[in-house]
Amino acid sequence: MKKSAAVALAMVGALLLISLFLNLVPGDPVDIMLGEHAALVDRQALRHAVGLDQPWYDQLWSFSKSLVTGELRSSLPPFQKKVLPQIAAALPNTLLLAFAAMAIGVALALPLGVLAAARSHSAIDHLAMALSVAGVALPRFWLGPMLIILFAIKLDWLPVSGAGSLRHLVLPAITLGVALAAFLSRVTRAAMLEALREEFITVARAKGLAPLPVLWKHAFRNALLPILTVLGLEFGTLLGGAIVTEKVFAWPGMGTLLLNGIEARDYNLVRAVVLAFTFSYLAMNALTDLAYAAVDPRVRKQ
Amino acid sequence: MVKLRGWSFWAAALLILARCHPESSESGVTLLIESPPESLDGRLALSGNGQRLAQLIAPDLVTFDDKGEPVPDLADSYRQLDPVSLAFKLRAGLRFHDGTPLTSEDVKATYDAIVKGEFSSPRAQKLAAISSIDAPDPETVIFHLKRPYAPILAELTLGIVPRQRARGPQAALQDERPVGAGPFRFVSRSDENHLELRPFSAYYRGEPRISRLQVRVVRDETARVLELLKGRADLLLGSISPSVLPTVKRNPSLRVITGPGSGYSYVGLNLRGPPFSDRRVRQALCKALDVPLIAEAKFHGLAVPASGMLPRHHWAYWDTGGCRRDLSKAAKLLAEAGYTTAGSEDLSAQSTPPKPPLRFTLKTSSDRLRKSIALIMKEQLAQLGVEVELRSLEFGTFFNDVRKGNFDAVTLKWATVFEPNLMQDVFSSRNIPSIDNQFSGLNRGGYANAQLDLLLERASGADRTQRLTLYHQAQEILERDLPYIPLWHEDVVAVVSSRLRDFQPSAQGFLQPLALAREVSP
Amino acid sequence: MSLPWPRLRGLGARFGLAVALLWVLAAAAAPLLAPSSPRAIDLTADLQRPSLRHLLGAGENGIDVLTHILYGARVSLIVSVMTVLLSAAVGTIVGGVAGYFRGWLDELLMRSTDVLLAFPGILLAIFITAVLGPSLANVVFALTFTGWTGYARLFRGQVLSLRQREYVQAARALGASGRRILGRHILPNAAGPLIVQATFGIPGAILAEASLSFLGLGVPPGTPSWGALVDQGTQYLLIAPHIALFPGLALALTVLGFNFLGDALRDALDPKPVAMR
Repeated sequence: MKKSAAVALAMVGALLLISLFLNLVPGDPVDIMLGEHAALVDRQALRHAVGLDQPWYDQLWSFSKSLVTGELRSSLPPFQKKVLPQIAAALPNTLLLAFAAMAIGVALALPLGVLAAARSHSAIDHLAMALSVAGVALPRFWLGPMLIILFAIKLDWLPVSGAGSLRHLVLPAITLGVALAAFLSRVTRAAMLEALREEFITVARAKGLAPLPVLWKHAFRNALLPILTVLGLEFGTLLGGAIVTEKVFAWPGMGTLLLNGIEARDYNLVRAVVLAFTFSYLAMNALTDLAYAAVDPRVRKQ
Repeated sequence: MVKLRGWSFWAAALLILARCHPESSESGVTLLIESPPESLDGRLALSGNGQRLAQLIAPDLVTFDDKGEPVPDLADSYRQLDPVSLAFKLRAGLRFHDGTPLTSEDVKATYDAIVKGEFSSPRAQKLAAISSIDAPDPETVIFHLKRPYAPILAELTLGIVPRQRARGPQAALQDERPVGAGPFRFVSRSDENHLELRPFSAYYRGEPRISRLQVRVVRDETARVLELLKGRADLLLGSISPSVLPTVKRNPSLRVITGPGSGYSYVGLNLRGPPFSDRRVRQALCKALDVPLIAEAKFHGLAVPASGMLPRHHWAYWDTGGCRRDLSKAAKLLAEAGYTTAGSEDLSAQSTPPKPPLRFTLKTSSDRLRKSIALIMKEQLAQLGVEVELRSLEFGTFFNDVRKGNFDAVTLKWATVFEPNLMQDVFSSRNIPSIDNQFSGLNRGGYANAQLDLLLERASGADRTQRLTLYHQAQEILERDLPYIPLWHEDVVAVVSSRLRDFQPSAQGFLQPLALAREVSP
Repeated sequence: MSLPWPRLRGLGARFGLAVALLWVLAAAAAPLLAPSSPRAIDLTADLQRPSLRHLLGAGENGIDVLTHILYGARVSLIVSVMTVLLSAAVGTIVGGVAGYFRGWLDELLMRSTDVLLAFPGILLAIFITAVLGPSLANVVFALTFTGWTGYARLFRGQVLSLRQREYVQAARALGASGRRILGRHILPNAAGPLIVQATFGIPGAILAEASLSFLGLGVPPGTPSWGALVDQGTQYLLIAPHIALFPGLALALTVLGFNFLGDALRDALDPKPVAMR
């Protein structure tokens, strides 16, 4: 309960910050947007479209209202295009990319982490951990083009960019998911080691002999919880990283929508997209918390 | 263990995905374009791709050759009956793709609908000179004009549609399933990125020797070039950076065919206020830039420095020299205009108050090539002490600024120039954009020269010999006044696979040469 | 206030230290080390592969990639160091005030960190630089605006745990002001974790500036930046892959080095049980 109140408060605070930010800019934002030679009539039209001709409380109210009712319109002449349908079209693509990246992250990290835990302190373990440290350091906007050079240009296995088929999803998802995989493999390894230790202690106390695979299965189940926690936390990083990844691969998601809006100086669209990102992030966090509570009996009591 | 199996599953899935090529080669020729045509109806299409594809499917009475001369297309011949009457004789046996004959009734219907406003077309204004159209017999069409107007021929390129599609409910069909008398007929359009055309057996020049023409949209240039390199596409017309051509040429199954082009790149200036309201500043700019150097460096010989709007091979071309670098002259002009230049500190020390350096903003679109060219210009001008601020904008925003006159200087390009009357559209004071014409006037720099206005007005109604003289004089005036800084004419570049032969690109970028090309099996 | 110099052990730590020193050297000595000037263009070498004249190749208009990497190091150094210093300063002040004085002030300040943390990744920084325009100052501002929360939470936690200690109680009894207590008694003991946080903050800021510049929102066009160079390189992957390859490599190695350095510093200054790191 307290958690959801905090979330709602954060959302409201974000809305405040974003919708009023144009007012906080030193100088006249309309001047910055349009440039010196712009005709007065154009300036006034833009000022009105973005709400800067109203006092700040009216601005906040009309922006929030039009956002929630779906009436918010682009601040590009002729100021007619609705913003919400554009977001609705782009959001599923970004979510698809984020989930595909999570899938790849998990698919790479789990085996790696478990293996490293199983052979801890061996050469394999060191190698796996070295890979994970490297993976986190690779910038996505560099990894993407390197993958394009190798897989799309040199080998011609996958398309260079765009969307439209499963093949188009592969490189962007890998690009977005590698950093997650690197981080997650460390978490998996640590969680598995911890869980294994507890299992052995329990078994030793019971003074019985359990077969190894059973031990591993139990350990794995206990390790799942921290892994899921991290996944939920990392979703935000995925959303942020999606913006850059979408640019590299011309993926038609919210990141591309945001960047196009910025380039076209469509600040109504930009503000709405930023809030859509934030909302998705907070919603995902809330869902993760619920799932966490459902899975872990200890948390459920709260 | 489950985890290991999961791992190999992903690896296998990846390999399977890698092996499937959904767009693998079958028979036919594939043309790649960089953006989808917004309409396939020639009466509505405004984008380059839209117009070219529309004209391929539905041509009109005339087309234009590399020199900008009108050439009969669906018309067999035409002649001027009197200064305000133009008579066309159609070829015998013309047919539409659906088999119905094309007669003068269809021509009259197509144009009547637009002129009378029954079909709304953005090109209607250009046809305003037409007062009426007669179709005395099935093979003759006579256009009656309100006054002598030579450029009317350039406007008779919308595309003849079957008469029932000229107006009314069926007119909208032309955009979805176009029908014309062109060498290729519309077959299907599965989505905005895939268009299929097939050869028309009853085309008046004979059935094209291409079994199937697929038009695919590939927005990313690297992807376009890769498609060609990997043999999955056969033709690319323009929409390729000159820097990629060496890589393309190294591929043995691709050929690069170039030819003189009629596109005109220029720097547009805003003459409504300082600094460019002063002609000396404009002339100084022309002398400060090293245009041939940029053209050579960026286009590797595939751009010809321009002297004016018309390309060298154009019938009305008049050589006025173009911009050649002369820094000392440029410095002198700027000093006269009241600006200080690099290395002139000793002169300006004596003048009171101290003169400022020339500063202005140069806006470009976000296209990489244009941006890098602007950067070179900035560096060249910096050598003279001129400070240029570069702003690159997304095309929609950029174009809006251009239309509204919200700029100091812009770099732009006219895609094709074959009708010299474009000069009137662009330089006549009548066409300065304002609220009255919804900012649709093409004289975006606000240039006004009464003498030039008169010359161009007379030229639009004169006969060929008179037009020649008048346009020569006009080009001289434009060279003196420099409302545009002429840059270059880019060559047309076609990249062709081994599957396509006998393709010679048109200087105007038209797709008609496909009607004469030949498909061979590789 | 003297800090015991941490003993850095291991290959990773040495690699990290070497990278950090190299980076500072490149940034500081760029004008001396670079073969040409960052604004220089060489039209005959447009997009050329690495050669004797351009050791790491040339980019658009023939700009020297090596020169831009060296000057780009300078930009990343300025931005990241400024960002970390400002974020740490703001964060410790806010966290200290919140943790020491508690009550409604604490609540208000912590709720504001919640608002900032509601924006995933660099989204807010993207928005801020988009509105303000590309410039180094705007990048530092945007990254500081979004980056102080970590330091605030960290220091607040330290304050909360240390404020009950005897020496703090004693100082309070003697009438010392909050500022004095925070500055002289609490801060030195909390320095370790803060330094570790700052060491990890540097590669974070380097990556963030590079990402913003990659998106066209960071440095003004024409300023050398690793991110901007990779952005240019992505247009020419087919014909000039070196433009994207080298600055990205520099970026990855620098971030990697600082991560190792941070790990080693953490082991030395702020050891915790291995489990959930």
